[in-house]
Amino acid sequence: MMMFEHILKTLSENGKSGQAYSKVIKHSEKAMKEDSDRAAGYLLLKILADRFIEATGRMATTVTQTENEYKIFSNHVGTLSDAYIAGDPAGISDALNKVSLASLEPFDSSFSTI
Amino acid sequence: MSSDFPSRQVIAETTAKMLLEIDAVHFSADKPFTFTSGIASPVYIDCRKIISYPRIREMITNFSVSVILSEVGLEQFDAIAGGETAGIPFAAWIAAEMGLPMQYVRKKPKGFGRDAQIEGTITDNQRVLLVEDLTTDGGSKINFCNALRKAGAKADHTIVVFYYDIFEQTREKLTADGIKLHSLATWWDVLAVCKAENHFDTHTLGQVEAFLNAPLEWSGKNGGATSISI
Repeated sequence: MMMFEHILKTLSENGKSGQAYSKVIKHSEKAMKEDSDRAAGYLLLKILADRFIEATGRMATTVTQTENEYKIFSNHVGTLSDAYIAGDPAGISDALNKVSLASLEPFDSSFSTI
Repeated sequence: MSSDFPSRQVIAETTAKMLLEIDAVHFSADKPFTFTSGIASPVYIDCRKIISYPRIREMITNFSVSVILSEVGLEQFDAIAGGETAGIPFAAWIAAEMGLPMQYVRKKPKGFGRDAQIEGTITDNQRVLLVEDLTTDGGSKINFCNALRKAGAKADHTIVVFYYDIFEQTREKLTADGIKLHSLATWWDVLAVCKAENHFDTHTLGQVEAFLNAPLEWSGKNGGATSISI
């Protein structure tokens, strides 16, 4: 799943920062159009990236917050990518549902996590 | 308000002291923070904390009005606009102090239309002062001023409580976009107070100073981005 890998690489190469998540949103929107069979998966990544930006605004994040969010995002990308590669419709549906539910998890904005 | 404006030095030093007093300033040299731009930094500031301290917010409001009146003029604005979200309370207090109407600017447009990013009443050629809590690289100020301009206003000035003053591109870009930045304090003012009053240890202050002098270099050495795009 080159598009999923590309999105994750974008996040990593841009410092896992707010600007990186903004780029993820743009890439996800582009991927939804260009790889429309997997549009639902890209939409979820867009929602997850938007969640980060909404939670942090223009504020800096701590190392712990940055790394935790990257780990969570990477896991979701892996879940979706694996399901699409396997190609089983039920598995894809399970993965989409799993990541959808995870997108409701609140961002840990506590400052004690320096 | 008295016509005897406090000096810029008094405003900067007092603002820095107030920000330190309410723990709005954090330094962490060993575990850097990540700016939205991806730059790693040992410094962090949260100006939103000011809203919870009535005496400090009143002082900040008075300082802001003083800076505007002395640097721009007494009759140069028709309205005050806050940038969503953190700029809104500061804009409200400044608008009240100056007896002017207020709007706020959304981060993103609410649908289509000329005023889609503005809440409140805005009129053609209205001279609007944009208010925000802080500016790092100036990017959001440009977006907000452009939204005000799109709605018909004249938005050529912005005031913030805190200006990072570490990226030379910031003022260049703002100037290129026809925006004059006004601020109460910078990291240099905070550092000066920290040194004078022995806040934080010398290692941390050394790292902070190294970062302020060469932010991109410090960021690169600490795993962050080495360039900035506004």
